Amino acid sequence: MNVPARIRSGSAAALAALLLVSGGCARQVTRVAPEQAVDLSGRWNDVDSRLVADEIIRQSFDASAGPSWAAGYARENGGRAPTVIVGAIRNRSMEHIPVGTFVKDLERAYLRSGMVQVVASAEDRREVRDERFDQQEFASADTRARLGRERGADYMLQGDIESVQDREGRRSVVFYQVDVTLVDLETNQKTWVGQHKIKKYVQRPLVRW
Amino acid sequence: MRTATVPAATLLRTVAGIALATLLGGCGAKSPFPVRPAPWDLPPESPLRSATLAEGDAWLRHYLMAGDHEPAIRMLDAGARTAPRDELVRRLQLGLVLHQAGKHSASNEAFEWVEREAENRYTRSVTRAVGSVLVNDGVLEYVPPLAERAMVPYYRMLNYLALGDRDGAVVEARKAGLLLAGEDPASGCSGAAFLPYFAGMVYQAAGERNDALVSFRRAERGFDGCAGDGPAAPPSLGADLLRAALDLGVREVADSARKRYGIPAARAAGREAELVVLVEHGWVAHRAGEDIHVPLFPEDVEGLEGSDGGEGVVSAAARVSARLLSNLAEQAAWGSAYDEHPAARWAAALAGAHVVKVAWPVYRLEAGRPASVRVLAGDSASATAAVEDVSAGVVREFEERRPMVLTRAVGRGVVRFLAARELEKKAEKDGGEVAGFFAGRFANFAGNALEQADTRSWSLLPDRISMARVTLAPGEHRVRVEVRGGAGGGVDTLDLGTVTVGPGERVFLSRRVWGSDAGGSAPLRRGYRRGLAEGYDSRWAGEAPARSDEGTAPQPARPDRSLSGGGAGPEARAVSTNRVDP
Repeated sequence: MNVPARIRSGSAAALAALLLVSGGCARQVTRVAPEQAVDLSGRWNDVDSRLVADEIIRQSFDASAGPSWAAGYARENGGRAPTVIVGAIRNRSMEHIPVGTFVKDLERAYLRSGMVQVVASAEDRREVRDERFDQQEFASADTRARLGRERGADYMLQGDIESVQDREGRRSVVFYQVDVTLVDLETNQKTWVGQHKIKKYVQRPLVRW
Repeated sequence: MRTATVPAATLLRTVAGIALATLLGGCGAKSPFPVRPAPWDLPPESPLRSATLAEGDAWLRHYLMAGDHEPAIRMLDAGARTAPRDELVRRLQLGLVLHQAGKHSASNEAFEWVEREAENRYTRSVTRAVGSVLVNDGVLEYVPPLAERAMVPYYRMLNYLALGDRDGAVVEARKAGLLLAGEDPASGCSGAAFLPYFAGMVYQAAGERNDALVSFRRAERGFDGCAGDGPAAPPSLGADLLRAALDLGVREVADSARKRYGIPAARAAGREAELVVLVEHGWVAHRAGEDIHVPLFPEDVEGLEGSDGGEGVVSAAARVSARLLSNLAEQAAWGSAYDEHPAARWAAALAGAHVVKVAWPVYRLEAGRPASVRVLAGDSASATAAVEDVSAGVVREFEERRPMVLTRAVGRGVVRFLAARELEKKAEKDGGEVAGFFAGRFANFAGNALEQADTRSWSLLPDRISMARVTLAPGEHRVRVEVRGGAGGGVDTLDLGTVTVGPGERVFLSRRVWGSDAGGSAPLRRGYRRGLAEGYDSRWAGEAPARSDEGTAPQPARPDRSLSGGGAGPEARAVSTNRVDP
């Protein structure tokens, strides 16, 4: 049977289109730098967590905002840096924000500042204490960690993340506000209050292929 | 009749038509589902007796009723032939099965994906839209109606409470508020009352007093706004509103609640605990396919093509319209029209007619709900009060979208007719009358095989939700649910286990129950109207409008029967130990 050229060329075009379409379905993975901001949905993401933590800690030691509480503490305590524990950061937003990541970002930013010392949180301490108790029984005398030498924190950082979302059709605005307070553990005095805001405008396309 | 050699193009088209028809006919394809037992081997409430449920939905409902969650989860595995093709539908069903199976984290993961994808689907796919005109509405990405989306935060709140994650439940409560706030008011009452009410209770349990008050007020507005179109406000809402207003010192709202709900005076804050039991009844209305066939005989086609002037077009259009209306009337009166019979369709096709098929979805309610449910905790019994009618919500939203669905279906019929007619004419020109005849018929059959109603929905949802609130003294309490009209028509007492409550604690439990039969398969609109004519309250028969903590001798608990009262799954969930500030 003779297949006309018209049909042959049509079939070839269809095959090419099929290959093109199926090629578009292949999964693509591209590595990006962890610090690179990639916003897909407009929700709270790793970049927000890191940037807010850095900004909060920067504010915490910002000399332009007045005398630093850390410097004041050091002055009063013979040059010893204050010890801080990062407490609960409450998620009062409309998203399931991994608060643990944000707490770790805060701890990292504090440690990098070199202005304060950071002690382990209540949850982390439990494991460390278990290990220390374990050492008392099983580790050699010259290597075992001694009991009763934990460093008590001078200040606790507490805070919350709130969000407000406004949506209309395909447009939405998400506003995050992070408030943190440094509380003197001995006097309950609020030593420092920090705040950072993020506002995102998200516009979804009407149509796609 | 003239004879001619059949050119290659026509032959190819004809072979392609046969192949397509064979493919669409699904000849020889083995069903991935188990073989259904004979109807007489099944209890009357079994979803497998349903003639209108899709095969996968029927089996999923069967497994869920039997408390046999693992086969249901396997059915919904990604890539399984038994899983719904649309990923969003698959995850909706999976999230609910996992919730029932007590796999709360996995359920939340499934629902999280659903929420994000449902948002993404705001952006419509052009290719799929075009596909829906050429193929059917099943090509479109499934966009869940608000009534279904509103159930996602409900289940996620329950999941987080079950996991002991109070903050997670509160996040879901906030998302529920955002979901309803962002919706078009035309979407009506779907979740507009119950969801804020439940969220308010979660807020209150978490000590979020301001949010609790706002939610209770929204719930009150929702119940008022949907009066007659859903359950009335449960009496406990007044007490909740009063308490939330007093907590915040908003005197105007407190006075208003006291006056409206007839609460004599603010009760002194006690140290009692509270048990909240959410009872999910039966099955939501599901979509089933309806279709109608209208033959266009050669004289109609000639008339429509205007070969004998404008008068002919009008005359042919009138004949076709009359035939369509007549078929619709026959279908409404007898359940089927003459033209629906396969023999009639074949006869029409052999007479050279182009048989236009139009398919559309209708909702069917095979709820299988029990007559009444009571919650027994310790020595007290509390009737449940209806708080949400899920079936009414999904149907109401579909009614709004139905004109568009029907327009698309008719549009597809016209496009297919034009395409088949063009193919017929071309084949006739190239290969003669016989080739044209066969090409036209094959194109017609292939097009009709493609025309299918879009019957996708979240079919595992309950028909409705009711709630019982029981005040308890601190301590241990055995909790049971008494289901009247369960399997066998008797009374089933389902043991939810022992709950330990401390002073001021609020504990949430949820339980799925089913009735003694699956109900008729009449279209929901008809059944619904009949129910309304008999009095809306009859739909909630046995559910006392007011909370009653009268002492009742509890019935001895019977073991769960297969396919009754919710099966053997771990539905009883002591999910919160959140203290409510007195």
